[in-house]
Amino acid sequence: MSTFRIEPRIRKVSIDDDLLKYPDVPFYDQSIFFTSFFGKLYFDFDGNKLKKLKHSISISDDNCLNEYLSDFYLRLLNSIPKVIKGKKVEIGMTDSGNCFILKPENDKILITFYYDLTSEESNIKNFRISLDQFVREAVRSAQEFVEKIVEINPKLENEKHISEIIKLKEKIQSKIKKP
Amino acid sequence: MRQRFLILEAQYFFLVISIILMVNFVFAADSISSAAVDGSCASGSGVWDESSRTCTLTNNMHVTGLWGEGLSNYTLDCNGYSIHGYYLGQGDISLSYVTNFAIKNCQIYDFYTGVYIANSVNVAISNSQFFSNSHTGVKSYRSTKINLYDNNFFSNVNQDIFLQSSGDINFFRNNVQSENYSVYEENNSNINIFNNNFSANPIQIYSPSFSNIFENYWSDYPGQDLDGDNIGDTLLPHHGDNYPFVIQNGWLNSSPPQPDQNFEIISFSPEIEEEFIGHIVWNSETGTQFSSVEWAYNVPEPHNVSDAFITEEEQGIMLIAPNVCADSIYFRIHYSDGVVDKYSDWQMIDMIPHPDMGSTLTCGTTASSIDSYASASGGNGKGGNDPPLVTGPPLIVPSEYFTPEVGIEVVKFVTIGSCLDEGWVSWGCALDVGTMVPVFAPVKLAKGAKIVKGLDALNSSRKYIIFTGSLDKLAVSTRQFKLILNQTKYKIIGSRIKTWVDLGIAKLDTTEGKITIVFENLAEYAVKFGDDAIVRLKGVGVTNELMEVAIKNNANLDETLNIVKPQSKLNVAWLENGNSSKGLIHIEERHASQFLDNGIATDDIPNAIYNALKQPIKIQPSKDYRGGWCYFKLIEGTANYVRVVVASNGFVLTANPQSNFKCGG
Repeated sequence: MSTFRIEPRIRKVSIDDDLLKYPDVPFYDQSIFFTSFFGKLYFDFDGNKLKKLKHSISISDDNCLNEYLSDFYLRLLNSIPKVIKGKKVEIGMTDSGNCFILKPENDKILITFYYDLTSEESNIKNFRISLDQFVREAVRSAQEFVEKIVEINPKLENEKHISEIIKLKEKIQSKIKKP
Repeated sequence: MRQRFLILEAQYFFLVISIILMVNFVFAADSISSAAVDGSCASGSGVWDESSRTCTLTNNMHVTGLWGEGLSNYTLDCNGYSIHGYYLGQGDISLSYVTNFAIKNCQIYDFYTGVYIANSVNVAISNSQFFSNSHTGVKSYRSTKINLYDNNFFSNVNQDIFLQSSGDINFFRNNVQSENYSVYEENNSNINIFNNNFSANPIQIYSPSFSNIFENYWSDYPGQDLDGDNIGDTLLPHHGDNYPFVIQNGWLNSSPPQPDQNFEIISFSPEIEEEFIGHIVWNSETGTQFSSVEWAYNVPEPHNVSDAFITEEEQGIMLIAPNVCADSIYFRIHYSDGVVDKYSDWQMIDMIPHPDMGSTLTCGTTASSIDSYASASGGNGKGGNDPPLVTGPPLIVPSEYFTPEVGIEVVKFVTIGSCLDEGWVSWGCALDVGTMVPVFAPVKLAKGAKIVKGLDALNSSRKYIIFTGSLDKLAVSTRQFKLILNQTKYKIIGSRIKTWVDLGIAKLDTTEGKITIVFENLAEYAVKFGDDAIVRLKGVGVTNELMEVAIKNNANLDETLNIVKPQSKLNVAWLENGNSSKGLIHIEERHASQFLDNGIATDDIPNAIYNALKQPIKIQPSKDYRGGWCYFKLIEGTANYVRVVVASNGFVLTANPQSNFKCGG
């Protein structure tokens, strides 16, 4: 069985951070509060990591993808019903032109990471894992993200992006067969 | 004007006889005149009292019309009886060219217009009911000094009250329940509409003129009373009313102070309101030859009392030179009928330092002249090492010190004067440089300070602007103006008006005395956060229109570098400094190197963003449920694009070079 892991890494939170102040954030920040969830994602594809290729963007020196995390998890969870139905899905990024390409193949899924702005070959190409493993890791990672966020400020559980992630996650969990 | 009367459907004989006899008033009963030509009251319809010049009805009148013309000093007391028409959509009680005419205790219905007042002066209609008139309850046309109070209006088809080309109208304590308009007025001046119950009218009021509407109950008022005083505090103004009562007859629970031993001080506001010490209203007794206000600091003693007379000629304009150390001031009303002097009780007012003055004047000084105070207000305070000014009486600066050249706003705390010989005292009169006739409600009906307060924003500001006469004079003023922006009350000092006019946020008409806020959101932003950001953004070419929309969409102008109008999809987009997660800081931290790889220096990133927004090669919708757009523009010399990600409200979230047209999702 391959290893596949998605680790959310929350940015350092300053004492006056909006994440701590929520829901008491200035009116002009309320509609774009999701930007406060900017952070990193570390991916492990059977020991392979994302690479900081020449000219590619949003991959940090510690091999993480910089992205708005709530956006990523919403897209990730929303992709699951589609790949289960056998549809090819792209998970794009808000902060770059990079994307994941998910290609179902029977009970497997092939994962490719597309690095934008580079001519170098992607090192994550058609990484194959079982669909079940993909779904479980997506749900587990989303759960980890929510827990880390709520640990910062329990009231964030009610923030609209977080609450939507929780809802999607629970919906998928209810359909996963117990091992 | 020659007095005369007309008879509707009268026999010619009676008409001729009546004209000859110069009879004042005629009833046309049962569509045929049965008027007695006894001089005043219709035969069989009522009793005439010559001493009071009152006709008191003794039975109902069923008439096609009732006309009075040229009458003066006449009262029609229906004594509870009705005067009603035939509901043929015709007829009215027509008063034309009358003076000092009163109608009371009537039930008037089934006419076209219940009472039609035209070209008349000083008409009062009270304690009457107007209903089932096929057009209007009461109409005033080209008439002045009309008082309509304590009446009930209902089921009048077009409107209850129709005021046209009239002036000095007081409409109060009426119950109004119309089938269409309750009050319809156009081309009038000085209309006071207060303390009425407007209930369930489809269209409560139509008032394009400069009406004073305050302290009414409105059945459709959706706001809230936050402080429990029965006056709404949110969603203001409502039908032009900044002080709407939330319960019917709410004003009845707001009693004026009790009369004192000698005569009645109706009310005063014992606190400093803005730069004014307050307002005093009292009743003068008949025969008053002069009146004055006596003032004293501390406990009033004969040696420290100053008396300021109020005369018709001087209009009683006085200025008080405030002792900044005094924590209280006393006043009482003094009047005389030429024989006996009478006084009210002393009333005490607590003084607090004016916020603009506290730091510039030191204790022990008395600003005893306008010049000294002008200096204080202008920032060259008399505190510190400056020698103290003259202290002690006189405490009141006579009216001759009041000069436009100096400007009254440098003198704080009070301008008190009397504009009428009816007992009015109000600071508003000080600014009444036009007719010297105040636009306040009659004193006997007013709740003094509250009434005046209700008129503050409208009248004092208007008159003050007219008084100053120029934007430059207003610019040196520290006067506060009340504003209601986005249904919230604010105050700004007069000097900021010039800034706002210069910035195009507001327009000033010194002839009409009007400040018109052109950009409401921008004005509210300026009140809350100051003008600096607005000035800065205008300096880089941002229009007020763009700022107005951006503020509405929650832009923080203080952090905004520029606002542009994108080519399409969004009305506005703005770039804020932001932080490491959004805005320019994020873009520079995360994407500057990629921009540089594509030949765009960090300093040029903002322009690259603006160009992409204004001249994109492609616009893609965000695939997120929250919406938003990505704007793409080709980077010259490359195969890549500048991608600008904009939230649905216009906030530039991020931007980066990109080789494709992906926009999330």
